[in-house]
Amino acid sequence: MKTVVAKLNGLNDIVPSTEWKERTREILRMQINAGAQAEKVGVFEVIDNLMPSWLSGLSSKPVAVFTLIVLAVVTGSYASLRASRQTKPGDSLYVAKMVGEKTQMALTFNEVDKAKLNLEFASNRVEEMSRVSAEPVQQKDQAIADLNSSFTNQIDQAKSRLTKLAQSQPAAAPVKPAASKPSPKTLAVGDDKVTVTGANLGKDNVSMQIAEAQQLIEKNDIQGALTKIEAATKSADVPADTKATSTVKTEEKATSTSK
Amino acid sequence: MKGFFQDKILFAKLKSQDQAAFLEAYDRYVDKIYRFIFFKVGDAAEAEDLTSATFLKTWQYIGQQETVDEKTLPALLYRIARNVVIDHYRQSNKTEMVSIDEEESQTLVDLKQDPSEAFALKADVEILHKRMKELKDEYREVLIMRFVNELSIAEIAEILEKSKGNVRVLIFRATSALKELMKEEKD
Repeated sequence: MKTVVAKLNGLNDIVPSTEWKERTREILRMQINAGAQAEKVGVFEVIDNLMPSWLSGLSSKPVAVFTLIVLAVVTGSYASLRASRQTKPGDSLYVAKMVGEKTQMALTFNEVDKAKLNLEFASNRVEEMSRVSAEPVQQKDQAIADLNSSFTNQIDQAKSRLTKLAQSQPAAAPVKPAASKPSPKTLAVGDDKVTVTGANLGKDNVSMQIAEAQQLIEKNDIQGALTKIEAATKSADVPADTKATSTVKTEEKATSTSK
Repeated sequence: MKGFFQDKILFAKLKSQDQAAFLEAYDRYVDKIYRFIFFKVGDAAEAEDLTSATFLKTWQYIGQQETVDEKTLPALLYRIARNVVIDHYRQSNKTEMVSIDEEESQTLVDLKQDPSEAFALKADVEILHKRMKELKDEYREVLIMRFVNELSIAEIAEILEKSKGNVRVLIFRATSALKELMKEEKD
């Protein structure tokens, strides 16, 4: 078999004469020149021919295709981020949520805004912890531990940023536009500010304190915000039952004081 | 791999009716197409005419078609070459037969410069031609494409519009048939 193939391979030495090839080449050149004007073929035309026909059909409407692609990317990204907001660890879109948070942080350059984002993300972790606790999740303990670690990390970053800000503006007095008008959610008892959150304490309480810290940052009360964050950290450390009891006691105390 | 991409770009340029690309394609494939046609018609002068017609028809075909179905340049050239040979036989009412006589094989081997190589080639050509003309046309065609012009199985499959499996079987049968004929020659 090999001998036959080798002999066949040897037949590729059979070629037409060089003179015939050159003559034919010249004839062909003249014939194709007579049929059409010599035109320089553009790069895009060649690329168009390199593409499969279904794809090259679209290339005749570049603006429409570009708009469609941009629209699809923007709509898709927005829809994914919206859908990922209510996710918890273990959900398929949770990664999108994390990526979204990291992107948001990377695109924020103001330290105050960064601190606010840290608090928002910490609040997200608290929310996720309550969801993980309530719903059946694989490796629940590990998920909660991870969320707790992320929460602590965000809080630490917020505190660090706010501390630096407080040191850089020591003279800045806290703005208290509504200071005389007590918030419906806070009551002053002696020197302490006590948060009244009703019977649903624990995680909700932490979220509330974080939200209040964010509000204080907006009012430029960095020191107040730091105090709130400290309180939120303590609330997160204390077991829920203890907190419920202590807060209820404080509520009673506040009621008697108002009387 | 480099040749593959060069061929793709050349084919794309050709489809855009680039005249320079056409002449480059001619330079690259004229020997192979000539050989393919020569083994089909068995006459050097006819092979030259039909080779020239193949290239001209390729240019005309590209100019007339909105889209070219063939995926590769060799596939397009060989398919047109096959049709040109078929049309030639229809017009001249000839049967497609390889008929190499002494004079033709002499013409072929004269192309070689070295006399000793020319002698060896002449012997091979004479024996192979003598035996190959006894083969079925599809066997002869597939052997030329695979072993003389060194086309890939995929390219042959595209040219013949057969599956790769069918082409492999065809090549095996054609080689076996030629081997048997060569054995008879020795005996």
